[in-house]
Amino acid sequence: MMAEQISVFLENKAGRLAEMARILADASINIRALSLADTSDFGVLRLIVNDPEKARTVLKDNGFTVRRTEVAAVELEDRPGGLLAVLDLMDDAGVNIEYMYAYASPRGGRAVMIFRFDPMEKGLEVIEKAGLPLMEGTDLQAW
Amino acid sequence: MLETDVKTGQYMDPAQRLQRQLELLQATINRAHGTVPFYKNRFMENRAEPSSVESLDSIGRLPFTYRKDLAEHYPYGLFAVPLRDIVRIHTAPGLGVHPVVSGYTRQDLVIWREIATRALSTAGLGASDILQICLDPGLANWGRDYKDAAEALGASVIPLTSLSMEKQRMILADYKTSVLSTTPTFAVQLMNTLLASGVNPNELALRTLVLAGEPLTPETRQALEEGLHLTAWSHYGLSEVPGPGLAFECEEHHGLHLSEDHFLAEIVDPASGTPVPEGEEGELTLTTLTTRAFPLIRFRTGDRMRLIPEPCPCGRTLRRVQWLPGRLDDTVLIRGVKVHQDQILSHMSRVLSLVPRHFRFRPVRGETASGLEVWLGVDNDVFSDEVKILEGRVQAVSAALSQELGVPVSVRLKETTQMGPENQKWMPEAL
Repeated sequence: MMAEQISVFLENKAGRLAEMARILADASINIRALSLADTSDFGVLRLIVNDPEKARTVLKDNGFTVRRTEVAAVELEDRPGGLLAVLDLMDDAGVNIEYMYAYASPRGGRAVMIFRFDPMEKGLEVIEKAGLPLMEGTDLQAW
Repeated sequence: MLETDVKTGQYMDPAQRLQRQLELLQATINRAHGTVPFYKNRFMENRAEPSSVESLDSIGRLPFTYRKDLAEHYPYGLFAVPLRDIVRIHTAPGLGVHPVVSGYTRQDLVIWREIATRALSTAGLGASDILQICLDPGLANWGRDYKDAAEALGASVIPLTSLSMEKQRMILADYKTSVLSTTPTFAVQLMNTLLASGVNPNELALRTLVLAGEPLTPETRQALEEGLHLTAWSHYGLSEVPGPGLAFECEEHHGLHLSEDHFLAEIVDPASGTPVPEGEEGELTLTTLTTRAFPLIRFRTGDRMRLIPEPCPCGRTLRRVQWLPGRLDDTVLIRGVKVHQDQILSHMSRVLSLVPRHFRFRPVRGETASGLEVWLGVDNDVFSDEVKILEGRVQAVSAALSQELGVPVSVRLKETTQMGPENQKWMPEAL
């Protein structure tokens, strides 16, 4: 069970991030979570939005390079050690984490972690085996 | 016979020179036609008979040879002698995937060394000098030639090695270099670095710059000579074959003397290929006269030149050319190395395992750094949501291009919509 993330390539250039945010706002797209991985020259913006297909289309139409990536959205207890438990599981299974980011769930006391595992399938298996709740695209969009 | 020819050749009576050139030309044409299938076929396609060249002017009946022809016959296709007669094999960056490979007989090497020796000794190089050679790997052939020539003159040579600007500067100061052989671009950077670090030019032993690879503009010459208190000498050569000193400045510093005892030079209209009126600018086209292993017939250099018809006060009868900035083919000069768009693309495609659709290039000539900058547009094929993969691509492309072109290359990822006009792949030089 996977969630959908869209990734956008951005040059490190004044105003590019704002331009992208404006395009999404104009299309009434809500950003649920995001992370920006950056270097001195460019950045990769990863987004969880309420309507990934529409977001992808409007950004593409405006000349951005956009990719959809499947990620795992894991709901965790919002308490000390919540993340560590997942990391330990992955470590034991020999699964690498390419990247991850987090946000607090509007549902009380929960947090959502977005993971990209390497290999992805194995990471998902570990999560499922441990009985941790995985959120689907629709869950994320509905919040 | 040839060594003395080189020494006396520069003062040969003009009428005698023309006669000698014709004899050598006819021999070269016959040999190329008889031993190199490329020339035989090219002549045949153009219905050109070797015997039709009865005078120097009638060389126009023969077809041109282009830079791309050199790489298309990789590796040994243009050799005019059997491999057992070859004593050295040179590799220079080509315009496509393949480099240009040229071969030399023992006699060829003697001639080339003599040509370089003549050019260096005209610039005053002698036994008491310390020569530092500082050229990019893409010009390594010239580095070897200068080394051989300077050693023949008894100078102490610090041969070509790939060193940082800082190390070159250290050697220049500490080893008491008196003559530096490099490109105008590098010389300017070195000067800026030296002056920025507070070096007083009078404390340096440096008194001579031998500058090859790029035309030396009057402004650059003045800046270097006044900034470093020395004399600059411009040399011209082809990077595909050894041959710095194919044309060289004399003590008059007014134009470069063509080594007409070894080459036949034509200045042609780049569009029509017909000779331009004497004294007007056009493309330098060269035919080798004494080369055994790797003859070139009407080779289009892409270099902008103007013949100076007046005899030189120095007494040399080798005619002079003025070497003008800018190129007449679709290559771009990066630190003296000719770079072609197709060549960059083919190496990028190989490294990325895809044919990039969005790319731009620009020469960078900064105060202290220079080279080629490549912009790679990030479309769906190039994109990854993992930064390490994107950075890996940047690394791989810049490493491969630096290696293949022999000049520093930096690669930048760009949004495809932020790259400027699609039809302008080469962007203006960045300062």
